[in-house]
Amino acid sequence: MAFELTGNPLADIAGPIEELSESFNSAFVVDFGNGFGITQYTVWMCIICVVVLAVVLAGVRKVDIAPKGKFAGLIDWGYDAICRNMGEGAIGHGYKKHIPFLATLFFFIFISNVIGLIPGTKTPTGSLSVTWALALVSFIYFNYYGIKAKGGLGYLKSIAPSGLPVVMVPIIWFFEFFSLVVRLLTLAVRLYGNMFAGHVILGVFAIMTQFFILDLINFANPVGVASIAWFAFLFIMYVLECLVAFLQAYVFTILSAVYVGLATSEH
Amino acid sequence: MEITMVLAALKVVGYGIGTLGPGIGLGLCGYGLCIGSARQPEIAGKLFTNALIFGALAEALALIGFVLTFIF
Repeated sequence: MAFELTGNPLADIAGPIEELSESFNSAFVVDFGNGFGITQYTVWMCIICVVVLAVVLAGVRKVDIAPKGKFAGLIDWGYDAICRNMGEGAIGHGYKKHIPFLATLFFFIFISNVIGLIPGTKTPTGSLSVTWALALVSFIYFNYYGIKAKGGLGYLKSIAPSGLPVVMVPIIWFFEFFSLVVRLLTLAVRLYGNMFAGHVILGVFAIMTQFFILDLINFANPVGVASIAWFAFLFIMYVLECLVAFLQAYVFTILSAVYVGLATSEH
Repeated sequence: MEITMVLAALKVVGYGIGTLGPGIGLGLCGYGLCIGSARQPEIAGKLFTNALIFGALAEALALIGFVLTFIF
C-alpha cells in the first residue's frame, strides 16, 4: 500500500480517488511522439473488434451448418430482435438494408460494454473519443439516407413537420434543425456518460470497501464493519451496471434506427 | 478554500439543479407510455418508439448540462 492509513477511512480516500481518476485518463501505452500514440482504450477497442468478429462469425457458421446450439441460437435471437424491434418497429418500410448497420452498432457497443465490466479491462465506450466516432458514423448515416431518399432541398424542408401554418414554419424549422444537430452530441454523451459514471461509481465503492476493511484489520476500528454495507452497494451497483451495459447499447441502436426512420419516412 | 475548488463544487451543484427538469420530463414520458399502452396495448410498440424520441429530447437538456460542466 502506497497510502498512509490514519485510522479515519474518510480522510484516507483522497489519494486513491486521484489515482482512480488518473486510471480513466487515456494515457499512451505506446507513444509515437508528436501527440500520437496507442492508448489503452485503443488496445481494448482492437481486442473487442476481434471478439465481436469471432462471436458473430462463430454464431453465424453454426446457424448455417447444424441445428442451432445454445450459443448460435443466442446470436440468432439477438439478430432477430434487432430485425423485429428496431428495424420493423422504428424504421418501418424498407428496413432490411439498414439492418447490417444497426446490428454492427449493437453488437460492438454491447460487447464492449460487457467486456468493460470485467475487472482489469477498459471499456472503449467509456472514452469520449470512441463514442464521438460512433455517434458521427450514425449521424452521417442517417443524413446520407435522408438526402438520398428526399434530395438535398427536400430533406432540409422535411425537417419541419408538414401541415404547419406558414408563419410558424421558420421558427419550428429552426428548433427542429437545432435538435437534429444536437442528436450528434446527445448520442455520444449519453453512452459516454453512462459508462464512465458507472465505472467511477464502481471504483469509488471498491475503494471505500477496501479502506474500511483495512481500518478494521489495522486499527481494530469498529467503523470498519461498514465495509459490508459498502460491498453490498458495490454488488448492487454492479448488477445495475450489467443492466445499463445492455440498455445503453439498445438505446443507442434504437435511437439510430428511429433517426434513420425519421429521415427516410415519406411525411 | 481555493477558488478552483469552489468553482468545481458549483459546477456539480449547477448540474444537479439542471437535471431536475429533464428528470421530471423523463418521468412524464414514462408515465405517458405506461398509461397509453395500458389503455391501448395494441399500439404499445408505436408508443414506445415515440416515447424514446421524446425521452431523447428531454434527456438532451441534461446531457448538454453534463457537457457544459466539462467546458467551463
